[in-house]
Amino acid sequence: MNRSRTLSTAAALGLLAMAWPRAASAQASLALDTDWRRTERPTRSEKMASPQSIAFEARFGPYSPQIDTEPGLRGKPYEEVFGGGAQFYFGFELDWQAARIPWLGVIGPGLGWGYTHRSATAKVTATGQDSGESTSITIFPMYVSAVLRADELMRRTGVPFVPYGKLGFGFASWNTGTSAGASVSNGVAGNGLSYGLEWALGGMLCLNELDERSAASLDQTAGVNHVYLYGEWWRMALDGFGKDPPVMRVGTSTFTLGIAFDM
Amino acid sequence: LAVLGWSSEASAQNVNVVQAQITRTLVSRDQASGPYDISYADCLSKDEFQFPVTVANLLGRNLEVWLGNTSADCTQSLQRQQINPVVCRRIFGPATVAQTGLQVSIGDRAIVDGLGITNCEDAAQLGNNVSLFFMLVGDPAENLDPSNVWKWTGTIVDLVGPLPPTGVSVGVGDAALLVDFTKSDATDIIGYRIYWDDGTGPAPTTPQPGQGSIVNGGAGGGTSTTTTTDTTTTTTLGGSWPPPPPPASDGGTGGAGGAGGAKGAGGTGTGGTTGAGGKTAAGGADAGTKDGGTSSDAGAGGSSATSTATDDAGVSAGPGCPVSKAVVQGRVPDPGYANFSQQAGPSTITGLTNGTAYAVGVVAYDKVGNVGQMSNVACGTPQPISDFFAIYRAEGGRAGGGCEVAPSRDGALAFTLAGAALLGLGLVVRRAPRSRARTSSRAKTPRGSR
Repeated sequence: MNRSRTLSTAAALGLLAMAWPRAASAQASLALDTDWRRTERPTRSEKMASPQSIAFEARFGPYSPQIDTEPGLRGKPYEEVFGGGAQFYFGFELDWQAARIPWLGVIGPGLGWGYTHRSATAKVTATGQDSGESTSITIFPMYVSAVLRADELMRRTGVPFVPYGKLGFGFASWNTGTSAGASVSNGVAGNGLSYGLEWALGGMLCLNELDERSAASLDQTAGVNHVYLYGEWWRMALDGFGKDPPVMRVGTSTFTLGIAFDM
Repeated sequence: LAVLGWSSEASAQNVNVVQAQITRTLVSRDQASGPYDISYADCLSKDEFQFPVTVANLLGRNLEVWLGNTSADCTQSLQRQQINPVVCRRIFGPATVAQTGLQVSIGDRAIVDGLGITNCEDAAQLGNNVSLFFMLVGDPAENLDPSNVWKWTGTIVDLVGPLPPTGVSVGVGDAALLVDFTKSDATDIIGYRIYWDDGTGPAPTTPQPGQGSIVNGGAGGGTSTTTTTDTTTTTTLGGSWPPPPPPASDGGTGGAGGAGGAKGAGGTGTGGTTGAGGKTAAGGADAGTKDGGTSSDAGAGGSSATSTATDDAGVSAGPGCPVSKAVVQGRVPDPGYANFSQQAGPSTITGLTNGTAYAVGVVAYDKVGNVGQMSNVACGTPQPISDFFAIYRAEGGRAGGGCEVAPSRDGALAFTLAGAALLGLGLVVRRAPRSRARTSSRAKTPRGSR
């Protein structure tokens, strides 16, 4: 019951955010389409800027699937096979900055896609010795989420920092295999789809201040309004919302870094 | 006048072949595979080149076809008549021909013979470029005008397969063996064939091209400094046998065994009389496995290496290896042996039986289909493998089997939410143009008119 309520709330928030009635994507339109005209009057540089409607992120970071947390497991298969440590993750995210919330920032839907892979030497079943084959798991973490970037602080004070948050639905396609091909165990194919909630909190450091002239040039030539470095704590709770039989818990809780663009 | 007349006659000769109409009776290869080249298999076959020849101004002369290497000029009588060394050989004619409609057939074997190669198996060189001179010859002492001779240089005689790869090793897989090797340095390699045998494969029944295979036995033992008087190896090819004269009385280390020949007769190290014996005779196929720990105890040599392949007892490449006749180092595999996988490099053999030992060797092949000698032979026994997913399932994991969302109510709910989110996204996207349009119209509307 609680779970359903949580889901409903999350969904309602996401839809509300995405259906926000005021399209405020274009900075240039601020003065024309708002009741806060006096205080939101664009700066001279904003007047010169190209319209801003999307954000793009290139993401990198460690990724430790939480497979071993699956209820009912008698061991830690992921750790036994692949050992400790994390695998490398990279991904991309594309946000549409659909609406601007006065005094807060922009909000809109985002789509994320990523890739991570890990392999290790497979063991001979009878002896436990290394075989000539490798065994691997490949995960494609993806999500659809509402993204709120609180950039009003930067716009109004000039502090080049933009905190943001994301909340949405995460899912991941995963597959396992060996160097000889896809894994099959007792007739069960070693692949599947896991899903659950996804959320993140992070902060972006705007690099435009470092070289405003270059930033303006980049905007004029490529339509890039801002360039950011960012760090983000990211949680993919891919537990299937408690589904039974369970999904493989290929989600993670990690910290990612990357570069982002407003365009 | 006589000189002028002779000169006129010579320049009036005319032989021509339409290159596009040259065919072969049995061989058909595409342009990238040397359509006019002669491979080992071609040499063994009864294939013939068919040259459609047109002649003019016969003047009582006969058609002859002479063969030389690329630097030969068989239009010159001296080169045609030189016996030692032979520069040019006549491989067709003299034939009395009519003016038109002439088809000259020259067997592949005739061209090979023209190079002085008496057996297809004897060729040791790679890629003999040949030149064929189609000429009208009257007086043997006559130098012919090259402009009136049709010269064919489109054939390369290549009877030997490429050198094998080295360092072949296998890794154990589930019903599979993972084969790794270092590619050969040979420049004419098109690909590799990975052969395997569980001990049931037959010995090659065809003659072996190139050197040092069935007939000749394996390479002899390496250098030896022993004082032995017991010489057992009489291998004639390869290695450095017989060993250099021994020093006084000091026992030495036996030479390493040479590569086994088809009959498994490897060279051996022979033990010194008092010192440490030759360590191995491992190169011998099935015979040379003795450690020459004492004086005269040497591995069996290659003296019996003249047997034919059909009575071959097979070779075991080492502990855990099956005795194989089909996959033997230094041997060219039988063309009819089908247990191979054609690859561009190291690869995995699949479809094997767990628990069965296999001998694995690799050969290289070139563009005309010549297969080289077998590499070193490695062995492996496929075994069941515990991969991550098998371990996960064995330890109680229950996920897997593809997408599991649909049967679950929660899963359906989750996908419904995702769909709703996408729908919301679509709605927002649709609203955007209207908003912009509205904004635009407001901007154009004078403030007082609102």
